[in-house]
Amino acid sequence: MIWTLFFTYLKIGLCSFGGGYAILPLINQYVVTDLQLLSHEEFIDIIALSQMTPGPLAINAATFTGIRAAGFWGGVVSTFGCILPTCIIVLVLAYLFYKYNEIIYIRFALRGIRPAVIGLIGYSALSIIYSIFINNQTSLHILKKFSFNVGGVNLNILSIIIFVCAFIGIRKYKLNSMIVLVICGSVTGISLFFIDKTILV
Amino acid sequence: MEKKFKLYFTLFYTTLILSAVTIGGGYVIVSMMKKQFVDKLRWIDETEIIDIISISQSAPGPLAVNASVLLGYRIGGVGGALVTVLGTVIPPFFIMSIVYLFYNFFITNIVVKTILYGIQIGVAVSICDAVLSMIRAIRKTDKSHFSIIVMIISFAISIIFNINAIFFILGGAILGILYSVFEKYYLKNKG
Repeated sequence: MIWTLFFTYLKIGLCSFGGGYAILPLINQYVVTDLQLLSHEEFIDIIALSQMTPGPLAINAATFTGIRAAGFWGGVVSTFGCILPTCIIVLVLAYLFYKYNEIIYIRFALRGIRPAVIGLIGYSALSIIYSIFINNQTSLHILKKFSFNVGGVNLNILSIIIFVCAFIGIRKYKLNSMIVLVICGSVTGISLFFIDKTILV
Repeated sequence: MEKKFKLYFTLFYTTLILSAVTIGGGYVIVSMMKKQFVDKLRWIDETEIIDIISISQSAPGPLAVNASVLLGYRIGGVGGALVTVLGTVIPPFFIMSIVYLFYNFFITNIVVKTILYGIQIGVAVSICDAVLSMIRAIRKTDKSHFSIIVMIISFAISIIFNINAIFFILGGAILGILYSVFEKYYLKNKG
């Protein structure tokens, strides 16, 4: 079992170009359909849990299914198998990059790659902002209470206020971003108690 | 020897904390890395972080893991890479082990969900902050309009089409080479 887990995740790690959601179909095929270590519902739950907890989806899924299939060490070998191929490939690329980055054509290429990458990150920022400002999921009290329907979309006022305050804090007052994360989490947590005191019981 | 140990230790616990608190996709953790290693520790500069992202995108695997391997390698060689990858993987591993034990609690608990939602707002702020300062860094090294145009094109394409990041790297590389060669000969003929 341990070996099956290791090789399955080795394969997944090796094929997961693009990161993040690119890995979902691979896990679905190898872990859900072939090995049947997870049901389809559990697979969806893991995606949700993965978004709620830190860490890449691939590692979260590997840990979860590994522990379920073969205990603690199952989790360890799955996670290890998942990251081993990428670590080796990245180290080779890094070695080549730092050795040859003086070559003029590589510098030319980087001139285009750098702004292209920033465009990608900009898109990722935009989609995160979109998902917190506009919620159509109303499973959270806090979202129901503070959402207002503006032109057909549910605009969340509370998250916009927190966003603006935190943005000013980071940009203008140079607050440490970890502290900002903790403050943001506390603010929504505390406002939940004000909305619904029954949650304490 | 002691100095090297101290370097590895700082690398380890910085990536450990980053990985433990950062919820969201790969770019999020990279922007947090930028905050810690560029703005606070000043071990690398902003364009180097962008290079690290580009190389990470050219390999398979999660962006967060790849970027931490590269960051560790850049700062402390292969040993540094080993340390940072451990720092990045350990927190999600343990958190997921705990989640496994309290699976039903996590999937239904409203307080946990609400606090995590608040953290996501903070995450959105820090990724925006990172994008803004990266744009400024790029503008400093490349004064032509070329970089702004490529940024806008890349941003627009990623909104409209859902294509793999590796094509953005390839496209950027081709545009960069073409434009630089064009600029070199054009300016030479003109001057």
